[in-house]
Amino acid sequence: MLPLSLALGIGLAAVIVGIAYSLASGEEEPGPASLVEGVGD
Amino acid sequence: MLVTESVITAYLAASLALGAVFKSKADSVKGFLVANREIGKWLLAFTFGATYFSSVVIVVGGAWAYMWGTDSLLIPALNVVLGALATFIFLGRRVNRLSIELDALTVPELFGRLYSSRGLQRLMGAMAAVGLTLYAATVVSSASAMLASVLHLNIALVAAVVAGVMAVYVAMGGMYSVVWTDTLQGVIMASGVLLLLVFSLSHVGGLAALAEAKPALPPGRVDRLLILDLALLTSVAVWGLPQLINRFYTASSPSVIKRATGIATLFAFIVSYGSFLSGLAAARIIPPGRVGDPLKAIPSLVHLLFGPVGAAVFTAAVLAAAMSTADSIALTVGSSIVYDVAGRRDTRLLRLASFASMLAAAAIAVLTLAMPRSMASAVTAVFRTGWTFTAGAFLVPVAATVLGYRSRAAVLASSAVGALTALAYGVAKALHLALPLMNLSFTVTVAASLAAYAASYAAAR
Repeated sequence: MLPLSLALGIGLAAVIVGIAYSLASGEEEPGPASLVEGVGD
Repeated sequence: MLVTESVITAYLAASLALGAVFKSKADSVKGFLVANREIGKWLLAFTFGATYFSSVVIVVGGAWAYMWGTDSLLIPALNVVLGALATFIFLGRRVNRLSIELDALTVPELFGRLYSSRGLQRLMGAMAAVGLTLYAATVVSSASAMLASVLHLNIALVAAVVAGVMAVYVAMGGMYSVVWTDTLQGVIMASGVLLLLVFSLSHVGGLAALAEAKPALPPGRVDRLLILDLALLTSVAVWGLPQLINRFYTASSPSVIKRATGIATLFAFIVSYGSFLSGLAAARIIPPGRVGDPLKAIPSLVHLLFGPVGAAVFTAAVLAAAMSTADSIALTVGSSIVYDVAGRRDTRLLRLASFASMLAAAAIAVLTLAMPRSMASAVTAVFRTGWTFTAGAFLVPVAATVLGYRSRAAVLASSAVGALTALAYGVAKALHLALPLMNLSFTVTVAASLAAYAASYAAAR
């Protein structure tokens, strides 16, 4: 049985992570200069 | 009932006005399909959320909570974590960058350009057109049936008016009107669900009382594997649905996606948890014997808490939820047929195809509703495959390609295996045939598609 408090806690934690991620400063476009590479065949 | 008719008429008129306002901006193909990539974080978050959640989450999600109790809360939990948060963090920015680098305007075109294959673009476009037309038919069908019963009107007339309004504003303003009407619809649906939750909680005496709600089904009869499958179906499938993935094409840069993440996650939390928690409240307030059909749990709760006039106005929120999903599908189907399959970069044809695809979905919906009950339920079961068929065809290819595991052969293999597995389960359900792991059909579909991708990818290396 999934407790109500745990289920709500998961959702609220996700919302907090989402808001923190949105507001976080720093490099906004990590990774290689181009994403168009690495086709396997 | 005059209040309901006035509210719904005003809302439909506002939707049409938004289409007219943006008509000139949508005269170019890029304007029509991706709103010239000038959509900001608020609009992006609302159009994503409103397209993601149709009226199904309110009525059916509430019914699941009413039947299964707090175990069903796994579904909103995964909706928020995987369907919203993870989609924005892991896929959104990458999809946006790829679409800009490749100058791709549709999801099939992204595949076609990345793998230098016009045939792949045509194939993906054809699969999106078929799968999403069936899905749109189920959305229009359920919304028309509900509205017709509230307004005491003929279902065919309601379907024609609702689909006609959507067809006109999508054809006029393309992605611009879809994004703006979605935002209007998103505000209406989130406000409606939030109000329902607040009234429900004050009626039962707070959240603690919900934990003690006795579900309609005894705990021994709750199928937890089915709940897990539905949680994945309504969450992970988002990664492969073109009408959602192409929302990330409309932003000017990945930083817009990043800034929209919190808003989109909060929207998903309000709508999904709000619907399920209201279903739990219904289980606490309304004895199972009084409702009979669990699908009537939320409508009965709304009627009890808001009275007949409030319940009728709440219908506008449910209608908004259905329309915000169906209009996006019409645009995606229209672009798939004209732009991806036929290869025509012609705004007039795109307008015509989007208009026609909406009316075709409404016609299918009306024909289904007019069928004898037994045949209608079988046909509806196949139509419901629209969501899983499209997700089966796109989910693994989109996720693997965006995350950098690229192989044309693997895309083709996993797409075919995913779509065919989803179709097999859909037909089996329609004909009441038993296939292995029937209650895990979506999980099996994704696993089969993933296995096909991995095997082909390894072979190509």
